Amino acid sequence: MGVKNSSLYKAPTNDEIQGLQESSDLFKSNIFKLQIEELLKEVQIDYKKAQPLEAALRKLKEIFDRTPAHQELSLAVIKASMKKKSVVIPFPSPEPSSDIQYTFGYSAPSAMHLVGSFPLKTVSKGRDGWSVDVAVEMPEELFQEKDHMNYRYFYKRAYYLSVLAAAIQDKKSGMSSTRTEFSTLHGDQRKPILILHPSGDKSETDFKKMRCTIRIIPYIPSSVFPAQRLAPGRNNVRSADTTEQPPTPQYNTALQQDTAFTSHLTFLYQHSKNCAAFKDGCILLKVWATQRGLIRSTNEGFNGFLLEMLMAYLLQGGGANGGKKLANGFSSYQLAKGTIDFIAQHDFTAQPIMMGQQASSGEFSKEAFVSNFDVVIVDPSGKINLAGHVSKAALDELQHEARLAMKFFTESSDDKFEALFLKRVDSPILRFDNVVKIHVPKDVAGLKSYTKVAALDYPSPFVHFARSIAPLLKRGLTDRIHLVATRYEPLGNWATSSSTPDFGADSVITIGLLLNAAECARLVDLGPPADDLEAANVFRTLWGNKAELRRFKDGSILESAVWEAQGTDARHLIVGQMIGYLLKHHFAVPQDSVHYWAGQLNKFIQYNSKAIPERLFDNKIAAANGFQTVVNAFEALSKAVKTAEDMPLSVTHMYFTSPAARLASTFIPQPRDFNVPATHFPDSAQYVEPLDVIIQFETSQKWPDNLKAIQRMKTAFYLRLADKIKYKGMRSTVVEETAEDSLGLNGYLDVRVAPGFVFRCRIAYDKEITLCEDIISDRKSSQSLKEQHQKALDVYNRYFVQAPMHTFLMHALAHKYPSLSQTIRLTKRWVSAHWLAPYFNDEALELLSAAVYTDPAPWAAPASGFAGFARVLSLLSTWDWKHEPLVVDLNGEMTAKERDDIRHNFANTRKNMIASNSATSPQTKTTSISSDHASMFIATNKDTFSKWWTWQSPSPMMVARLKALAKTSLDHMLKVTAASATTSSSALNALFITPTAQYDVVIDLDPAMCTRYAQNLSPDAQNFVTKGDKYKNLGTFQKSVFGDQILIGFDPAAEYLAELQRTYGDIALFFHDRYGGTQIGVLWNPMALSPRAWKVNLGFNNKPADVNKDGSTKAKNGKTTGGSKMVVPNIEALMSEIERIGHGLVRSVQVNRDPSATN
Amino acid sequence: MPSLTTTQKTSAYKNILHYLYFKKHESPKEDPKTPKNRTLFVLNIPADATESHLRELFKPCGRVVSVQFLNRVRDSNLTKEEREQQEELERLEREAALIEAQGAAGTKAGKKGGKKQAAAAVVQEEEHRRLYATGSQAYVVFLEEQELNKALVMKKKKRSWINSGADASPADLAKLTGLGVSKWLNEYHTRRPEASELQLKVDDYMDKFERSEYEAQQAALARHNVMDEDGFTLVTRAGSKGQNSDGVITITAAKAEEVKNLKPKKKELQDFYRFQMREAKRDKLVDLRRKFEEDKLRIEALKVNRRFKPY
Repeated sequence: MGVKNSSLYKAPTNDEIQGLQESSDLFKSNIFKLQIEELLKEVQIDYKKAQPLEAALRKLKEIFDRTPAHQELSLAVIKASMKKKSVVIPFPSPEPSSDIQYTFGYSAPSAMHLVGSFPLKTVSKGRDGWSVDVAVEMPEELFQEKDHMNYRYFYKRAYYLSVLAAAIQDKKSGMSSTRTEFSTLHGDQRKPILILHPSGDKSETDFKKMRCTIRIIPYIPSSVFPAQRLAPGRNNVRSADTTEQPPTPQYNTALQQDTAFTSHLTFLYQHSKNCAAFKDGCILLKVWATQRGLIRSTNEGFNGFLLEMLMAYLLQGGGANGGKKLANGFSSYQLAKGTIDFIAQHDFTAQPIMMGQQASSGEFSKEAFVSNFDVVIVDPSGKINLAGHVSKAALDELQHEARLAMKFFTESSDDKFEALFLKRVDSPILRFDNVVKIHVPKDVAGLKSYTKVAALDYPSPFVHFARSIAPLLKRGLTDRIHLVATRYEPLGNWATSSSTPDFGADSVITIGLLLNAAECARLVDLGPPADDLEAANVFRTLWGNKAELRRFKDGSILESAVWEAQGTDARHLIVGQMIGYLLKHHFAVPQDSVHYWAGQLNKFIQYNSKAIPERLFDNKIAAANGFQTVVNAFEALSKAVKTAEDMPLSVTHMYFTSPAARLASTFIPQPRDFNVPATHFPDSAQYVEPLDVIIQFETSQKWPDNLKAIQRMKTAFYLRLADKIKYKGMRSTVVEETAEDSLGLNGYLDVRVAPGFVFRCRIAYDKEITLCEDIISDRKSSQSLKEQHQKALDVYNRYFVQAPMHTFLMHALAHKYPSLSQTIRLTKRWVSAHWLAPYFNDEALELLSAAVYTDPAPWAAPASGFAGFARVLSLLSTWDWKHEPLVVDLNGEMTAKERDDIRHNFANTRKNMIASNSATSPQTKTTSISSDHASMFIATNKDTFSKWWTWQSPSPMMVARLKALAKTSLDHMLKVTAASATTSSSALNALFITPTAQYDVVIDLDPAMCTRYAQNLSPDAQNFVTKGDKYKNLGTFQKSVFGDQILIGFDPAAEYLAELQRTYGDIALFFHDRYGGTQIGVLWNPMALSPRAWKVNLGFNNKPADVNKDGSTKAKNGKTTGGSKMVVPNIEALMSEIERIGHGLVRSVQVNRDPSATN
Repeated sequence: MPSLTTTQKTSAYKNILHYLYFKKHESPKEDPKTPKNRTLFVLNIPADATESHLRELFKPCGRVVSVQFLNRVRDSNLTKEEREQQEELERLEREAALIEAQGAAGTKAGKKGGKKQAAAAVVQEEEHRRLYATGSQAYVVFLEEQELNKALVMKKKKRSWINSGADASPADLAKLTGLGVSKWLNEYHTRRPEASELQLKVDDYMDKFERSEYEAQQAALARHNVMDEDGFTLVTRAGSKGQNSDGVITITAAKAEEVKNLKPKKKELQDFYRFQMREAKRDKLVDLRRKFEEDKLRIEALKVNRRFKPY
């Protein structure tokens, strides 16, 4: 690159050496460091612009101080006085009863502090801006000794807050133009806070430019209540409903945390002073967590503050043998990575985190915390559990993400910066394998699980319900899943004049599941043996009616739960069955309010069972047997061929290279009984797909040295082979292609193998490569001869070298990732449904699908076809093909060096592309190798140049179209799944319906003539019923127009398409859905449409540019002979030609646009 | 260049005009197939044109002897030898095809005269109808020169190519046979000849191939070890075992890579002299710097392509 040598060799300064050294020591790599710097610039705030903000804060203090104090007002009085000021006091539920004796008061705050990330300079701008936290200390005298009991503190706090709100809103305050709202602190409904939005009036206190909000948080000094009273095991909420006094740890912590804002700030500040990179480290950590939706405003999860505290703690402990995990000299990268590493590795249950000194016994001992909380992270004072509100499920999720992140950090072969920090990855459909949406049961408060005791610590039945889902599912699903994550929409802010909201009946809980691909399809769950009464009882309570005693083959009698499902696709939905059952059994959630997203796409890769009778294609059998039937048939063929006697050469290898061999054909191949005559099938379902097979003979010197003669030799072999396996029940046909200029692959052998598959066998003979190469490298050969042989060589390589290798690798991958098969099949169906199949090789689509498994960053590899397909769409809609090569590491053995090579190859391809684009004028046909090749650069271990599957096609235009379609499809998918209104798969139909308006011409084909019409997404059932209902049982159709033979691989639509491309390929593009599509879209090449000078070999049907529609020459005085020499394509004549060529197949032609009219 | 218009009616397109251009064929080379003064060069023919289409079109001008389509321009880039070789192989194929055709024609046409055979050829053409790339060319050869001239002075005028829909006559429909579905079906079956037929074809080809191989070998042998008029004997390599044609001396040319490997390698101590250490250190620094600069450029590129905004 453009670095001058002289500058490289000049003597280094100390700083420079240090800088260069630093990046390799402290950061992963230079590029990582630079990227971090750029990222930090984006999310940090500019403190220089903070003046209006500071003015606003000063003003606030002034307002609060000015507000008159008052004491001892009763509940009724304060309610009334606030109503006058149109503020509803945000009392937490349960609302204070009207007969309370204590009183409320206000006096000016005893202190005001800036707390949180703003004073620490660890602000990371989020999607919705950021906030400045102002802690307002409520004077001690407002509280009485017993106020920690029964929400009294929280009620008083709420009143205090509403006085502050009213004060700001007062017209005379000087800040009344700022919009104020109530919200909750970290989603805790007990602790309302006041939010101030900038006024936008351009006054000196208008902080709009900072794009932030001010949060006002009332608190009390820690001296108000004795610490002991709020210890985790204490009960501080009494109820008339129950005499029990269980611990109320959630309540206690909520109160405790209100006393510690300043001490925590000091703690963090100390560390940020000692450790230079602490602030940047915090920001990185928070960006990472925010992207994953780990920082959220519901009460069960983590927040930025907690992560900062964790990092600060690691600077003083948490390492091996009691040492420090992080050092003060670390870089921001090392700090963030170290913290994430700690989260990933640490066993939070066995070793709860105690940041400060810890009491060995008593109410603040480790045990006291552990027995009262899910997650324990105790602050330096040793008294407050910072993670008191965090649920186990939230910790699991955080740890899962941390483990993933560590994988990305340590993978040296590729730079994962983007996946780690830049990509937003919290969309459930993309992130989880299965997504469940639950509408909250109507009587959520009346659930058995929401006991009176539970109500003391969880005043909101909804929150309690949401928290109890994950533990239940985890218990029920055991090792079928890796992770259950739940989340719900937070309450959000509310106007100060409206009453405190609560989670209503329309609340939805989203459950995300990461499946364990190896176990999730299990049919039986084994419980404890029958004689272990206690364990059996537990199992029975969990599974209810589903639990049954069974005797197993090994003689053991076990409690067990058995699930019904046939075939891989159905078995992958067992988890859904189980969740539905568990939710119904334990929480009485009716089936119809559980929306389970997993199998909805399956119908798109099956024959449409509504329109097509089972007699023709039975999806159930196909789903149950999967690809095994066809593999077995291949084995039978292989055996027959290898044992064929009297062959001049013996067969050494047989390779099955069709997509079905790698579990990747859109439809599971279904056998066609060849004993049933063709007339029993409607023409619309006649198609029999031939499956590619390669035959390799032992090496021999007897082959001729001439390419054409070799082809004849092969034909002779086919004939002999056909004869030999005839007696093994395999009828075969030798086929000779008649294409003139092809040197290779002239013929093949179609073999019919029971129970009804056709294998298309081709003989591989390695010498052909050498023969072709000799001619290509011979300096004496002419250009055209070279091209001809290059073409033959390409074809040979594709069929006999690349296809088997690709099949081998993909087959292994499909077994490693069981859901890959479904993902590929859906992807192929989707691409074809959008009529792009003619431009994307099957193999390219398979690699695209494989990419989301081999390189799943920023997620883990998907374990369901639904998630896999969504990820493919996401990949397609975001990938920058122009600047990035897609590297698919098929066997997981790619080295950093290989990746570098690929990057290099890619750069070369792109460079050539740019060069050739600028060099060639648009008129000349570019045949040189460097013209826009591999516009979709997909490299694998074996193909580092992307030469195998995407070298010639697709063109950049097709890639752009695919990208646009992927984006719309993904958006639709996200919208439908987020709406949670329905889980019917028909809501996703739109994914597979392509817009046709942008084609210049759409050719309608006669479905009755399309032999693959049965594969159409929504076929008309009319085509599949026997004529005349009377003879339904006979199942005979009218004599087929194709004769009474079964035609192998005969598809008129495909023939037509090929003919069109051969004939008009230069001036138009043709689009078609190969799976039973009945339309062909045509786009004229805009370049060919403009008038141009007439010449002999123009390459399209043309007409003089200056004639009228009726053929008369446009008025031009005196010039009759010849007219001008400009011509344009004769679109109408072309269209009528196209119609004639498709005689018998074309039903009508609809012209959307007359391109010549625009000229 | 005079042009000619033909109309055509279809269901979707009524009165479609198609433009044909033609001129007198001119070529520096004399080809018996396209005699100089009797050949008309027709351009921009419809993709589905057949010989009979063109014959009918030019019937008013005179008697058409033959029609030749130029599907693709014959490669002028081929070297002479290559062309000969290719033509030889094509001849072999044609002969093989002819045997087949005779077999077929024998049953159909019997012993009737030559005219009928031509007709049979036309019929066959209709059955195996070919399509030409859009806007192709053809040569139309007339019997006499005047007829060509008559064609050349033809008025620009609409002539009917094909009618369809309600106006379609049996003749029009006949023009559509061999197109579309029937064409593809036909091709499908043609590709799958009877095994015995195919066997015959293959055997015949292989016989011929081996014969021509043998002849070529004999001819090559005959050229070996023959003293030319200057008294030199050309010694070449024959066979794969490195034996020469005179069986005496064996000569092999060394390949470039082999020669390179023969050179003795200089062994040098690494990290021994002070200057080496110094240079190594300097190179390391240069390397670091270069990488740093490269990375900076990459970041710049990234910044242009996508910004570092995480949200």
